[in-house]
Amino acid sequence: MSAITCTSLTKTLDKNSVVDDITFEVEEGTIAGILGEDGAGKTTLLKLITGLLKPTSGTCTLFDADVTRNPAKALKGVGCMVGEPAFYQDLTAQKNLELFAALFQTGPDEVIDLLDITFPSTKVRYLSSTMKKLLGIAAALLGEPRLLILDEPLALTPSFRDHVKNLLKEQKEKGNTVLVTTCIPADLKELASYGVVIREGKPVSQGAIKNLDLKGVNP
Amino acid sequence: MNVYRVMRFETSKLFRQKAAHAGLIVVFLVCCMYSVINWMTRPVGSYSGIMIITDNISLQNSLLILPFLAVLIAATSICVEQSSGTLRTLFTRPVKRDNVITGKFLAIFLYMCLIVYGIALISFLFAIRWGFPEDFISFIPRLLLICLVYILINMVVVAFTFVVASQTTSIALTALASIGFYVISMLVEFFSQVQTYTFLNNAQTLLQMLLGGPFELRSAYFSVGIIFIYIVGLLLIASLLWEKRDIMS
Repeated sequence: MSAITCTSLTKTLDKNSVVDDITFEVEEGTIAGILGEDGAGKTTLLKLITGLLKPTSGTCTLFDADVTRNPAKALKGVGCMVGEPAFYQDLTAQKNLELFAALFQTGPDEVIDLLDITFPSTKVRYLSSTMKKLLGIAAALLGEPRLLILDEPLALTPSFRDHVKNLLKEQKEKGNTVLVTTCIPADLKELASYGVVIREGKPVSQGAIKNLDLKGVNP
Repeated sequence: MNVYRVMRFETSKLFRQKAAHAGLIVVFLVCCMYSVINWMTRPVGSYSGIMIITDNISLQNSLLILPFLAVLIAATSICVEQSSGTLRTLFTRPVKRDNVITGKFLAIFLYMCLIVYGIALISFLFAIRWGFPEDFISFIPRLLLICLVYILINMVVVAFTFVVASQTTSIALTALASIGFYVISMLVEFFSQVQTYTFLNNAQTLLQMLLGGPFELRSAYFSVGIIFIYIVGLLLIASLLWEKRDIMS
């Protein structure tokens, strides 16, 4: 069964195609990646997949539920971090996680341990971008999702990269599906079994990682 | 995720906001100042305890303190959250957008209840100086309803703020448009051709009835109906606009 099915997904903003005719499928229980340089349209594509943006044309389904028609239903069992992680600045990391965890009628302790978050009592406004990213991944893991959609989860300081990579592999081993975006081909090769390379919103190569054409993407 | 869970989320967030705390302090300070001035200038016997309570709430509404506070809180909960990206974080959870709008509305309703009933309580403590009529106990339900009418007036403005906020991320523009809506509603009230259908005129009708004027059940139902049509209608429009909106930030 496909966890994500995008069919001819297109988004036009001010007459410019920011995502142009992208079609791909992500099988359940795998890690897939979207590779592209800054401004290629990776975050916009994730916004379309999560229903934040309405597509100009095309469709996207998550576990057979149409995101465009019913985003709330489609996002059930889906954990997302799209764009730069955004939290309530005046609240601590723990309070932010408690707030979002309450939506799922659960607590934040499990994800705090999982991500090894050592700054629970620090206000979000004082966190570094790496810490915010970890908090974003932790928030996405709330409610034990079976599909994780993460925007640049490895844009971290080196000491945390391996930890997050291991966490994503563990998710796959549990049978969950992961979709990540990255601008580093090596990360995609290491983690994913399927990839889509996009440039200026257009898919330039897609398929199994070993067959992917990475020409033109910075190593 | 149902409205109740979103409302709890929004309420726990709202009651931790500095703007909400500042609003409470300002309103309660104005309430205390007005009561102290009355204490100093009106000797016992020249004023009724009930009047100081109703005058205090009415004054805060007439000076636009309550409407401005309601608009500020509503605009902050949408515009600031939108530009900071926290609304995006919320919309990527499995929650319907209209539930988010309703949850935010109910959280602000609880906040306005705290404000208005808080004013009533503080005024009540000051009002003991002037004493209350013998039938005060039987007047308490009416007093609570008077407070509720003032809350509903402000909730109409909150619902309008949600409509404006669906079209812009500017907090200044949203606040100006919403206060403008309230002021225009006050002006329209003077035109007899349309005043029957303005929410402010119907609120005034209810207030007059509750303050001891002739009580007509049919007229009361009509006024309550009009106010609820405004609230529900504006919330529906806001939900529809939010449903179609792209979340860019």
